[in-house]
Amino acid sequence: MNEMIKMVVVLTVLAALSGGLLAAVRSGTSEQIESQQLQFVKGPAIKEILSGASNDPISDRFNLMVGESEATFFVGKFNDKAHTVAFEGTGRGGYGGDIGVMVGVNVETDNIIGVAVTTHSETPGLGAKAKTDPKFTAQFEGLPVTKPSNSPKAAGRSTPFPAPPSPPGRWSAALRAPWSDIRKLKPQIMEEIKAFR
Amino acid sequence: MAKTLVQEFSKGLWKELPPFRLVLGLCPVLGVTTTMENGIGMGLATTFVLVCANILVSLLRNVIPQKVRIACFIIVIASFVIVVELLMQAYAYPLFSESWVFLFP
Repeated sequence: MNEMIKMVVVLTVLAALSGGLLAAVRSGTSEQIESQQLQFVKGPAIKEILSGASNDPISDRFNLMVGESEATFFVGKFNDKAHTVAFEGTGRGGYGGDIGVMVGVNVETDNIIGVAVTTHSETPGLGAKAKTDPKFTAQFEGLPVTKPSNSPKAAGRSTPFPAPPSPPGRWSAALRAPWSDIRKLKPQIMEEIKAFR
Repeated sequence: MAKTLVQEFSKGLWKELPPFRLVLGLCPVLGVTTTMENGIGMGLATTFVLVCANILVSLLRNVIPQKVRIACFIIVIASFVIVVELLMQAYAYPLFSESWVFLFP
């Protein structure tokens, strides 16, 4: 009996200490991690999507709640008009887990101006090529975000995805979540974007 | 025959080198060490986890009951692995993005 109690106590104390240590490290590094992600993950994707913007999209940004989490929207000014936003959405349906996608949308025309994969857990050299192969992201440019069923295939485009085993349909399905978020949040985005005009 | 201190500390250099002689952790080693920076980074991360986990396990070995020994070791080692993951994300993001898929699956 004593041994049983000792086992329970030791495991409980060790698990509690471990949890406490991880919580402390996590809260101590969260700001630095966010800044690193902005610099190394979101930054290049934002600059790629909003290339040619006359402002600095990384500093011109606002936050909105997407479901239960907060998302940052980066504003791009073209011809002195702030009508483009880029934001990172999370697509569900990747083979290795969630897929982080930066989506740029012209909120006046409701068209996608660019897509870039930021984070994923797909197989290196196979599904992961979606991040590096420009053919993959190019197929979404110009598609409307207002139609729930939008996809390159529905728009009559070929889907030149680089490699099996992640078929284009699976990636398109994963990317549809950010489209849906943009549609739902459009009134709030239009309201927030006024501050940058 | 009892091993000398020098033998004990030098055996990992070749005689019991984990990836190539014991074939342990071969996949992450081959996957991550594609550049010198990644190799050094992985070596430092592995050393940190091994040293910290060994010190803590040595300190706790008389307290941990025999039957939950493995479970306790898993908690200790996994905690240090996650600490390294968070620190790499915070202070060495390029290294983290190159190696996380192999080191922190």
